[in-house]
Amino acid sequence: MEQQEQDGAHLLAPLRSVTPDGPPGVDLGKALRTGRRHARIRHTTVRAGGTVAVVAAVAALGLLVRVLAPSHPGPAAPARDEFDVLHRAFRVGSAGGLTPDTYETGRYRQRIVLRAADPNGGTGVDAVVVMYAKGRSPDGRGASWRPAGRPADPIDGRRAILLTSPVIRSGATELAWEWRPGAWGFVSLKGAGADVSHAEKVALSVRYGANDPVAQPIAVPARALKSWNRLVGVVSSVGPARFGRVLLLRYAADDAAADTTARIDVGVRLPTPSTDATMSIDGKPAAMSQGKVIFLDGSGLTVETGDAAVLAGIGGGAALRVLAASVKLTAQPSWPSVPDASCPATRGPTASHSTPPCVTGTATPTPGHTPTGVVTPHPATGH
Amino acid sequence: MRAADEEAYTEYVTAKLPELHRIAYFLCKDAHRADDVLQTAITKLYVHWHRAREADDLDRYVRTMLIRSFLNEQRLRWARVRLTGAPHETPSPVAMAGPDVETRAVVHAALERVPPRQRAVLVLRFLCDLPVAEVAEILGCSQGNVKSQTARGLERLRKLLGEPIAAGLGGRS
Repeated sequence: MEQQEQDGAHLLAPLRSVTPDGPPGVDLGKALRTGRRHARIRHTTVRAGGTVAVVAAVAALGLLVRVLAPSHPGPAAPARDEFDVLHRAFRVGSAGGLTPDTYETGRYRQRIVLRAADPNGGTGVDAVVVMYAKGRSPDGRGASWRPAGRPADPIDGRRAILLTSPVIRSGATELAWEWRPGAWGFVSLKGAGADVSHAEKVALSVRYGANDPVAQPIAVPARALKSWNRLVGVVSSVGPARFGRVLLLRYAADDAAADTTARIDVGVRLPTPSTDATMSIDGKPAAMSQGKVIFLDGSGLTVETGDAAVLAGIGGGAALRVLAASVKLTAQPSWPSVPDASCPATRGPTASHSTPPCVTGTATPTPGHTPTGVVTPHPATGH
Repeated sequence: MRAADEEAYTEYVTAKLPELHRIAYFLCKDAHRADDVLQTAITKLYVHWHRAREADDLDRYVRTMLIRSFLNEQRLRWARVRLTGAPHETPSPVAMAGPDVETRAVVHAALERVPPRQRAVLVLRFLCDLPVAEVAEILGCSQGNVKSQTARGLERLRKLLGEPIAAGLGGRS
């Protein structure tokens, strides 16, 4: 491939600076006149076609949609008790000095990352809330899994367990509760001051039954994703702008791989890193490193392979560049308008909210923790 | 088409005409045929302007129209009639300047003799700097097909140029 590139570039190099002799001999006025005539003929033909033509067109369109469908890879249809990848099933408020940062949808579990609500640093604690569908569990054992630990105060009237050993993140304080029969939710807290009382407040701020659609303003051709062409999750910012903005469509071979590195993320990260462009893709400056490409033209478009095996699987760095060039923003991502501080404790969730509302009365922000100024990483996105 | 749309169409075509003319020029065997192909393409663009504007990439859409107009024209019997009577070896008129005038003329003449589809691939990849994926989309074929057409086109070009010239240009012998 490289050799072919060089060969072609060398052989045709003498023509690169060549321009045709003189202006084009085309007649724009003639194009307009002929075009108008053709357009009129087309219009008349379509009208004269009547019902038969319409039926035929509809049938053809249906066929076309089916043919084109693979170029816009989508998620698997959720089964009963599973989540829809294109909707957020929960809303999480600010609680325990924490506020939601990112929300990751998934068919078998949905995950929310919370960070310090205090812009000055907060408590130094971060949290991950993971809500599993009925019959799904962190270790993959499914319905037979039971949490091991000591009983904690019920969450919304449901039994809760303070885990003896963490199952979401090592070294974390974790609380599990059966948010519906056979379905477990987890709060995983890390950092100085992480305790069961924090975990309970975060758990109490989780509201069930939301069905908030997630935007996916990005088009990526399915064939460029090779085997990793199923949409298994959408990671999106739901917090204050100071956390940065992220919108990633997560592709993998199947939904079970959503929590592994065998995936490809395609989307937008803002602000873009302050790094020098190492290449030009489609005429736009971009940087590529460790299986990730990000455009530095202000769009923040990024393509990130989860590990070296995925990068090799799609065809290496050259194929990654081609994939990046094929990704298009179909609309400007919209971000939630979230105040850059803890929300007041008086607002409750409403069906019309497109962003997670502030905490309800069952859990309140806990100001007064020592600001640390520590910016925690993004456990949900893995970066 | 509404007046505003016509205005947008005219503005777009006027701005893009030099670039499209250059592509047509490399694709076709002579300047007159390049003009014909370009005229056909911009007329089609007028008819399909609404659809074109809704395309993800308008430039790619128009390039696709141009390439297809060229390939369609090649399929017609008329395309095989040589109006000028010029032999294959005669280079087309090129705006030449600088010390490589002869080399340019030779390469251009050789490119004209590469089969149309292979020529389209070479022009889009190496003179328009389009990635393989985009060329594949424009030609409506697989990326593998683009690569194989590229290999065959380069091989043909190398043969037409002759080994001494190809080697002088740095092409793999």
